[in-house]
Amino acid sequence: MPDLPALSVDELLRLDRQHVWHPYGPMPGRQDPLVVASASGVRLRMADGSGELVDGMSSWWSAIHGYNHPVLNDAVREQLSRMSHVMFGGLTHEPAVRLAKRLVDMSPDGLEHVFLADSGSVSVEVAVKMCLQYWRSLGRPAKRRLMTWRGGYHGDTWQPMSVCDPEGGMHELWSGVLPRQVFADPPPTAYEESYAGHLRELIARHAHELAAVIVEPVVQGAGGMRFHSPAYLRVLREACDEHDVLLVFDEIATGFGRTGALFAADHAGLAPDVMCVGKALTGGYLTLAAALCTARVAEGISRGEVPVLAHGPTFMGNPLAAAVACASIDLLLGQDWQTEVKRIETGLLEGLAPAAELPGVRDVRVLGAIGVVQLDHPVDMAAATRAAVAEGVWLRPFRDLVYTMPPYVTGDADLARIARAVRAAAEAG
Amino acid sequence: MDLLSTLVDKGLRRELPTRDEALAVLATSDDELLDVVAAAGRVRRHWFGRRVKLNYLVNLKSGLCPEDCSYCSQRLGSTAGILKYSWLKPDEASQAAAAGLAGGAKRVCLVASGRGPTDRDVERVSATIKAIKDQNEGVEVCACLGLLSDGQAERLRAAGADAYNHNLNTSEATYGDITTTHTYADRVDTVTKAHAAGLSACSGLIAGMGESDEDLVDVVFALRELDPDSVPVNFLIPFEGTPLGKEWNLTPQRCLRILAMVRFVCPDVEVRIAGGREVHLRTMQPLALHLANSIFLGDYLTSEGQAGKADLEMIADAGFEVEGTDRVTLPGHRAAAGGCGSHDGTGHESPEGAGCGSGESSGCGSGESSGCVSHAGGGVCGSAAPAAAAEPQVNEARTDLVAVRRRGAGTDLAPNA
Repeated sequence: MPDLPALSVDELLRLDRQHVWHPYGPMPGRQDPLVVASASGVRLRMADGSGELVDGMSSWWSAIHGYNHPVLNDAVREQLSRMSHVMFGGLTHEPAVRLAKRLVDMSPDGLEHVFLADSGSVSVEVAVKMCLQYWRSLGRPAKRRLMTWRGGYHGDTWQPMSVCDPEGGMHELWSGVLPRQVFADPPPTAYEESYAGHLRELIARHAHELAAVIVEPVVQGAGGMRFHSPAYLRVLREACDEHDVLLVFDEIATGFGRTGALFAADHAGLAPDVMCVGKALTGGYLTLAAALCTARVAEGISRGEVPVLAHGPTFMGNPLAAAVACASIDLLLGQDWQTEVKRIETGLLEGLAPAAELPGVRDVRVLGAIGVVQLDHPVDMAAATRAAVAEGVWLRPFRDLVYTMPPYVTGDADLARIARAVRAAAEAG
Repeated sequence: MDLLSTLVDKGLRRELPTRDEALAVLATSDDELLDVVAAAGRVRRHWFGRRVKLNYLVNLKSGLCPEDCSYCSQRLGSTAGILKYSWLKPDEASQAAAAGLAGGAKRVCLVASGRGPTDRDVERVSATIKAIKDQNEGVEVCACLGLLSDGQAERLRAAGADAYNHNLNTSEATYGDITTTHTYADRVDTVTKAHAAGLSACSGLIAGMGESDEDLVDVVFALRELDPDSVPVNFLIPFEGTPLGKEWNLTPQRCLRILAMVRFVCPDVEVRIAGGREVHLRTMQPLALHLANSIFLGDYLTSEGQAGKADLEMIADAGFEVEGTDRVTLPGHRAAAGGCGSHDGTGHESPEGAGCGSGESSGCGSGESSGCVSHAGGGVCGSAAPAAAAEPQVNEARTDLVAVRRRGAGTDLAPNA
């Protein structure tokens, strides 16, 4: 660093308030964020000298191996010494090719082609473009709508927003601007034949105009942290096949072991036509996502009047991100990750169970390394966050949810602490 | 051996053996095996002569089942690399059926994965049944679509279905261990519904899932109580990618003892060797023809069987004959009893007399050792694979024995028939 004086925490916060947007925030922000100086393992070190917080969020599902991991650091350093970036049009490089091969090998069978995108939302945009263009190339341009179920979250750019939950995604605000998609009711937790019938009926009714069904498999993330039976995925797969509709799984949150399976689709033992991954792809190191598709989709697009997928982000296939993604995947698959996720599931089940007795708690649910306490009222985010921080844990509650998806490397004592913090936040919020 | 002569006497009189006698058959030693086969063979020949009925499976809808039956390659969460496709069109199904019929099969078993059919599915299958019956005179059609709702069995009957298959699979006591998404009672209910609608009931079991001798006797006695016209006996085809993928615990000798026990308990009922014939009986297959009077020709739902031609040669070499469409499978008293619809039961009382009208007799064992609710079997049979040595306990997947079906229905390739 040049010789600029370090910013004091107060100065930093003042400038932050003055110039910096935060996610889903007003300008200026209503609440001062906490300032992080560094992070290592599962701990965030606070810049104000207040100490460390155990991270219960994996930085929104991504930091599965924790922070400042020596193996991942080495991968970045190693790649940095070669090149941090080079354009992807007309050029290619080993990190991107290696990563694509790993993704194809580890993902459900049939997904063979990889488009590297620079964020989860963009990968969903690309996935949707693939599907729409597939039908257009086959001479069926009327098939351009999407179907999903309520309660979903797919990102904040336009196509993803249009398939987010209409209420959670504030579709009212964007009426007339946002594409109008087909919405099924939210999926029930357990398999119900009547809901399966509802899905089948809706797909059959709209098949002529549907390009794809897009869902988050098994766990709906930021749309409400709801879980559902993988049997519904089989219903979707079957109905889509029957009615000539493509199936897209958004595994951006669920991928890389979070639900106890490598990908949530594995709970159902099937493959979508297009799959999006992101978040934990780089172990939380750098922004990177990917849309994988089958040979059928790729060949369909390439047979069209415009036989190319017209998409190409400047930072597509970024070598630094691709290199750390390869290292993160190797780190994951090189350990007994299933046992680790199971251990976290058990810890969360035990630690969160008492929350069910708290006043104001509607539901407690755990799947894989995901623990959720749902309140019967909107959470007081400031109070809930304060309560968690007082327990030495970083949580970011939203809507009526206090939840955690800790790094897989979280030890049992830290896990117990996270569970205590979730209970405290649920009680305070 | 007292036990065996008692059992032969009872079998010829259609008298139920005791549970202890049935258990004793399973407990016989390898030294006694040929005597056991010979005894059960006498009962078989008394009621069915040397005829072998050939059945042919058509998998209308493969994979993607929402049920979690642990034996099944089509189950929820199965990662077995099987064919997955949705409903075959009536003419596609009819074409697939025609291949089996040309190979000598007299019954076509139409199987679909899933918990049970919707009313729309029943309409679809009805159109398929009609297409098959229009194009193949004298063919018997058995449907195997899973749990039935009220009225569906009647509609299948009206559409021309002769039989309905739904296996009990295992004993009531152990049922919860293999499936959580439906119950043993659900299964009994569907068999009862099919029977009540005038469909010939076909219901059987899967052996080799880790059950005890008591469990096997329980399920076979429960089947006798339900009184189906045919009992498919599946031997688990451990499919890689399913929870029971490493459950290789059957020997050819054990399979023969199980078939003999079923024959003694259900003497005058069509006993069919279903999924697992090739992979578990292996070179001992011909001996099993002395016990069962019915097999599947060609491939199973999701795995390959041995070549249809090899089946026919085996039957001829072993001194048996393929049952023609002019012969009725079941003995006259069963045909007349109505269990199998029997509109043309000729009333012969001779043991070998006309059973159910062709067009009606037995059920469909759906070949596979069992599948999700509907397809009876996760099944598969390994293509006449080179026999594993006699080592029964193999604790790993046997991809050398189990070959996933990649031809016939749902593919562009010619079927095995």
